[in-house]
Amino acid sequence: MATDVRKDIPDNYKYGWYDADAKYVNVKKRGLTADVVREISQTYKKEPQWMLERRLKALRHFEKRAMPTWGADLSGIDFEEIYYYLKASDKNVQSWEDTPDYIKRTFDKLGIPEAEQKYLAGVGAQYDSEVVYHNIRKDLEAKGVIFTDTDTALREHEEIFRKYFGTIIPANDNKLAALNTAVWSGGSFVWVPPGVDVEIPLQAYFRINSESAGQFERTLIIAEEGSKVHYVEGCTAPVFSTATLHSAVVEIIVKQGARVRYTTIQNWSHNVYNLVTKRATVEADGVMEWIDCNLGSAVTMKYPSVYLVGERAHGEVLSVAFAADGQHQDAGAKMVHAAPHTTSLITSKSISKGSGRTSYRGLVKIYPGMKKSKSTVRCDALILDQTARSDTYPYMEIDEEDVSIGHEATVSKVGEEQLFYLMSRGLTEAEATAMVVNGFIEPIVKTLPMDYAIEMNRLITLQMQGAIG
Amino acid sequence: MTVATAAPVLPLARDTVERLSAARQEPGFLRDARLAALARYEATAWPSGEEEEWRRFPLRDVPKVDLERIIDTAHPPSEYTSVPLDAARHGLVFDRMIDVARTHPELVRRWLPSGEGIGSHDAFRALSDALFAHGSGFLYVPAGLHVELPLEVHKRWRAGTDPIVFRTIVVAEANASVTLVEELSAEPGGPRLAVPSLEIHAGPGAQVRYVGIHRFPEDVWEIGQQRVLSARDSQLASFNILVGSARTKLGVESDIRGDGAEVKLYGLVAAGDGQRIDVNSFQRLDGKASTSDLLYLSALYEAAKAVYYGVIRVEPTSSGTGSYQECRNMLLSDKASADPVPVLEILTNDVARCGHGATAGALDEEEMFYVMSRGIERLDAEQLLVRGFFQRVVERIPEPQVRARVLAALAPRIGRIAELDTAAA
Repeated sequence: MATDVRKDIPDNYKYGWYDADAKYVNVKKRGLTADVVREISQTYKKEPQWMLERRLKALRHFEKRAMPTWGADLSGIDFEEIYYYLKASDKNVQSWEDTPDYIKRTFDKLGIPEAEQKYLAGVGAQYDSEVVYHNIRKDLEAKGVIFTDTDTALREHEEIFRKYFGTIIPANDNKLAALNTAVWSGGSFVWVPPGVDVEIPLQAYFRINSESAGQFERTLIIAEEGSKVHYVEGCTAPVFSTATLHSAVVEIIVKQGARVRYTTIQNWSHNVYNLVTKRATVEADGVMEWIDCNLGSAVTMKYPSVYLVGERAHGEVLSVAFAADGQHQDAGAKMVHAAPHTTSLITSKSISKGSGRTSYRGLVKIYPGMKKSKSTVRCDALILDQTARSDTYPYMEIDEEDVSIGHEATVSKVGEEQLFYLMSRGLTEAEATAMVVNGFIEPIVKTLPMDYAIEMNRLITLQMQGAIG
Repeated sequence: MTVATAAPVLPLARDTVERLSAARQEPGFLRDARLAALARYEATAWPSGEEEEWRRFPLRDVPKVDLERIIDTAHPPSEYTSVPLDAARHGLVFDRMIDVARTHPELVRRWLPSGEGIGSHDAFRALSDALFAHGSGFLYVPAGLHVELPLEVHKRWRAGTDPIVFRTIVVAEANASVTLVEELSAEPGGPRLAVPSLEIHAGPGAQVRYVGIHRFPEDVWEIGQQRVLSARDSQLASFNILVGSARTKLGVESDIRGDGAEVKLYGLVAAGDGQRIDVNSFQRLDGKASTSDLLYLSALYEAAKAVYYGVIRVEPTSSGTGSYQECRNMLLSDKASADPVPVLEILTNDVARCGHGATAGALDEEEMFYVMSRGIERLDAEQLLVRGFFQRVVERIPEPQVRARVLAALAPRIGRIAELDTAAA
C-alpha cells in the first residue's frame, strides 16, 4: 500500500494518506475555460444541451463576480492551478465486490464497510469527482425513494432534476456557487415520495484524492409532503502540499410537513479551502435541521441557510467548529423568516487552539408582516490558548414588531479548576482538556448517529493531543 | 461600485476655516490646528457605505448644507451652565472652548488633538476639528478634585440651516471626579446637519460620568462621534439619551489602556415617525483586569428603526478582562424595525468574561395582561412597561435632578408615565 505523508503536515493527521496508484482516466488539465466546461458536460458526461448552457452561463457569472471581501482570507486560492474535473474510474459499479481495490483500500481506512454492515441505507461515496460506489437498500427502492449520485439523477430522472436544480441556489448567487454550477460533478440526489419516512440515515463520503483536485459536488434533496429523511455526509481528505479547493453546493427542498436533517462531519486536511453554499427552503409545517461539524481544512466559509417560506416552518442549525494551528473556521448560519409563525434556532459551539481562529457569522432576517416569528441564537466559544482567536458576528435584521428574537454569546477558557480536578484523577493535561472540550460540544454530538458521535469524540481527542503532546 | 454608492462630500473651503477662526478672534495655535484638520478632511474620503459601521446609514441623502454658513454668528446657541461657586478656585475649568483657549491656552493646546478613533469616522472627526464653532466646550478637572454637583449645560440652537459643529473635551486628571450633563436641542426650521464630537480623558483613578441628551428636532441629521479614553483604575460611565433628529449616526468608542479600568456605556433610544437611530460602538480592552460593559435599550414607535453595530475587541496583550455588550429593542408598532449586530473579536484566552446579547421583540403580552388586569388602560400599561424597560439604565444615574432631566426628555415619546422617578424612592 502506498502511503506518503508530507513532512510539513502533523504526524497525527490520521487520514493523511493517498493512493499513489489511483488511475485517472482523463488527462489532467489545470485552469478553467469554456472548453473545459464543454469537455466536462459533453465529452465525459454526455449531458443534455440545457445543462451545458446552464454551465456556460454560470461560468460567465463566475468570471464576472468578485471574490467575497468579508470573512476569511482567500488570497491563497489560484483558480488557474486547479483541476476542474477528474475521474478515477470510468464506470459506476453497483456492488462492493466490483469496486477497484485501491478505492476499497481508501474506504477501508474510513471504515465504510463496517458502517454499512451496521445500518447503512445506501452509500454514495464520492472519490474525487465521480461517484464510484453506490448501493441502495432494496426496501428504500420499494418505497420509491431515489438515492443516487447527481450525474445519474440527471440521466435517469431528468424531469424532476430539471424542475429543482438551481432553484434554491441560482448560479448568480455568489462567485463560488457560480463556479460550482459551471463545473459540478458528483454529489448526491435524494427524492423522497410524499409521506415516506426514511427511517435510517442515508450516507455519503466525500474525499479529495489528487493534488489541486477541485471538488465541486452538487447535492439536491427533495422531501415531498409529509416525508422524512436524514442525510449524513462525512468528509476526510488526504494531505497534499498545495492548496486544494472544495466548493460544494447543497440545495434542499422541504415540502409541506416534511422533515429533513442534514448532518456533516467535515475533516478536510489542513491545506483545503472549504467554501460551501448550503441552503434549504421549508414550506408550511416543515422542519429543516443542519448539523454541521467543521474540524479540518485551512479555511472554511460555510453558512447553512434556511428560508422559512411556509407558516409554522421551523429551521435549526447546530454547528461545531474546531480551529487548530493555522486554521480559520468562518462558519455560521442564516435564518430567513419569510412567513408568519416561523421559528428558528441556531446553536454554535466553537473551539480555537494554538494560532487557530473561529468566527461565528450569522444572519437572522425577519421580513415585515411575519408575525409571531421566533428566533434564538446561542453561540459559545472556548479559547484554549493565549494565541487563539474567537469572533462572533451575528447579524440581525428585524422588520416586524410581533416577534421574539434573541441572541446570546459567551466566551470562555478551560477552567484551571476543571483541569486540576480531572488531572488529580490521573488524567494527563491533554486528556483532561479533551474531556472538557468533548463535554463542551456534547449537546451537539449527541444528535449525531452513534458511529459519528464516536468518530467525532475521537477526532477531538486527536486534535488535542496534537497540541500538547 | 464604491464610487457609485459614495456620498457627496460636503466641500469645505480654506477661506471658511480662516474666516471662522478670525471671527472668533482665536489664538494662532487654534487657527493652525484647524488648518491641519482641514488638510486631513481634504485627504480623507467620506464613508463609502461599504464599511460595516455605515452600511445601514443612508449617508447619500445627507442634507446638502453649506458649510460656509457656519460663520453666520447671528444665531449663537444658548448655553446655560451652572458652575459650582468656588470650584474655579481649586482649578476647575468649565467654559466655552474659545474662552478657555484664551484663559488657559496650555490646556487647550495639550488636549485639542483628537487623536485616532474609529477609522470610518475619520472624515467627520476631521470636519469637526476644522470647523468646531459655537457650542464647543472644555471641562478640565485638576488632580484630586471632586466636583460634587453635576455640571449641566444646555446647548440650544436657533432656527436655521447653518451647520451645527462643535467639540466637547472633558479631562479628569488623576483621582478627580466629575459629572457632566449636556443637552442638545435646536428650534425647528429647515434641513440641517449637526456634527457633535466628544472626547473624554479619564486619568488614573479618575471618575467621570457623562450624560448626553440628544433631542434635536426632526429636520436635523446628526452625525456624531464620541471617544472615551481610560487610564488605569479609572471609572467611566457614559449615557446617551437619543430621542431627536430625523437621522442619527453616533459612533461611540472606548479605549482602555490601563489596568483595572472600568467603563460603562449606556444608551436609551426612544424614536418614532420615520426616525432612524444608528449607533456603532467599539470597545477596546487592553491591560489587566479591566472591564467594559455596554447596554443600549431602544423603544421604537411608528416607523422608527434602530440600528446597532458594535465590536468588542480583546487585545492579545490583555489579561483577565471582562466585557459585555447588550442591545435590546422593543418594537411598539408593526412598522418599527431593528438591526442589532453585536460583534466579538477575542484574541486571547486570558479573559475573565466576554459575551453579548441582543434581542428584538414586541411587548410581552403576559406582562400587558398582568398590568391591565390591575385596571390600567392599554395605553398606560404600555407606557408603564416601556418605562420599566428603561429602568435598568435610568437607575444607573445617581443624581435625582439628572434622572429627572433624562425622563423629561423621554416623556414626549414614551408618555408622561416616563416622568415617574421610581429610583428616587
